[in-house]
Amino acid sequence: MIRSILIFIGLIAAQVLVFNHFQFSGFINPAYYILFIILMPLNTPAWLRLLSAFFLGFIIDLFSQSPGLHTAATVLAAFVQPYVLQTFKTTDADGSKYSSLSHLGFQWFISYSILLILIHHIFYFFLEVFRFSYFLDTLYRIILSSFATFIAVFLSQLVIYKKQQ
Amino acid sequence: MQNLLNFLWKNYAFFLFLLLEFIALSMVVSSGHQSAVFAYSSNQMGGEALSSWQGIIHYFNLGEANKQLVEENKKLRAQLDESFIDRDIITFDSISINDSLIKWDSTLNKYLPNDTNILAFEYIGAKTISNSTHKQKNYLMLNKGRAQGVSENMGVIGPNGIVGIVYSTSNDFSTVVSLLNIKTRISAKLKTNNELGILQWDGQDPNVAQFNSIETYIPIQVGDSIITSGFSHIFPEGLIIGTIQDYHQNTNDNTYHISVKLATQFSSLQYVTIIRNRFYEEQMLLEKTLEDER
Repeated sequence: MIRSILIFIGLIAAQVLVFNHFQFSGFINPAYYILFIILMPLNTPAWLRLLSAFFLGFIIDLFSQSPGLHTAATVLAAFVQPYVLQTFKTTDADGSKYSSLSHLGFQWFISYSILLILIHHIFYFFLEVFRFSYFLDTLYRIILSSFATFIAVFLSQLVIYKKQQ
Repeated sequence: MQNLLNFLWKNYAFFLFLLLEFIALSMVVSSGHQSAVFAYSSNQMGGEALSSWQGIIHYFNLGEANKQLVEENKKLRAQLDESFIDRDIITFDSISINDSLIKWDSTLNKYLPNDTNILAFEYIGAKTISNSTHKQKNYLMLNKGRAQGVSENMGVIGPNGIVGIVYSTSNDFSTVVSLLNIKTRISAKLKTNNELGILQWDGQDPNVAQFNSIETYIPIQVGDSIITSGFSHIFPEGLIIGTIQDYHQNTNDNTYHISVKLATQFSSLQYVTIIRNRFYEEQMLLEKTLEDER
């Protein structure tokens, strides 16, 4: 529990202080804080899953001055997380542990986190634009940002994975 | 009843999800820019946390910031008179008028104008605490707020050109609606022939904005300057916004679609100047009475 709270605070700090300042060409802005949703253990109770996602998104919104955008996308990601996690299931895993790279293994973690990041980013960017007139531009944003988010998530998980080996 | 309760309980996760999504989405759509409560807490809370961190970030960009400031100083020296309006000297002997433009001189025993040149615009320096260019609605946060005299609808300019308009203030911080915000509209004109138009941003390239409603019979050229018109009472007249990068005729009417290369480099913006128009309330009041009568 305490560990989860530390991860929660640490990810917010990382997002607000570091990743919000990444603004290459206006198209890449990684949402690293989504790692909190990715790591959620499978048997986290639904209310805790949803409410913590809501507060996570809300705090990120406060710091990025984008009312509701991150909140809406994060709550959606948290809601679908267990279904996405089970879709790519490769082995029987302990549902009370963090869904991390070291726990799930490469194949499961990579496919699962990519889909979850995509769901989050698609919802976020279309909500932000709020229209379909710049469809290709938005698509371009989604792909580049999702890629950047995934790289950040994967590399940080890889460091922990290597340490545990 | 029992069945209904069972159903709700079994699917409580889904209903909680719907409820939270509803709250989030209503935050997204509420009001034009941001809801007031959100703006204030975002201002004060975010401001305090970010300002110390931003101090470190700024340190690494001091070189670039210095260069921009030196450029700005050079330009300012060349145009010091621009922020003054000229007024004729009129003195009132018999009528007593309570006006900010004139004052009672007891030694001469009559009303004298405060000054022949009335300072209409005042400037406050500020530093950016947060800034973005990648969103559709970009905002900046500055380290000056109500306590330093900043209030809503003041203009903000950077070393090279205009930046945006103050949207909300807390005690020590203020949020600025960036020019890079799809809701921002700035009254602007062509420097060469004073033709008026509206400048706005389409949410695409953070270096390029769109300047509309210039009729096609008006001669324009790539490289022409776009400047503020001064008609919004927020910016003084003649501040540089950008230069024409490209233009073509709109298909459905006789106006040009003009792409403007913005003078302000939003991505490296650190030091800005907030502009206070001393006559803003007075001018807006006059305009409002006009609208009311229509």
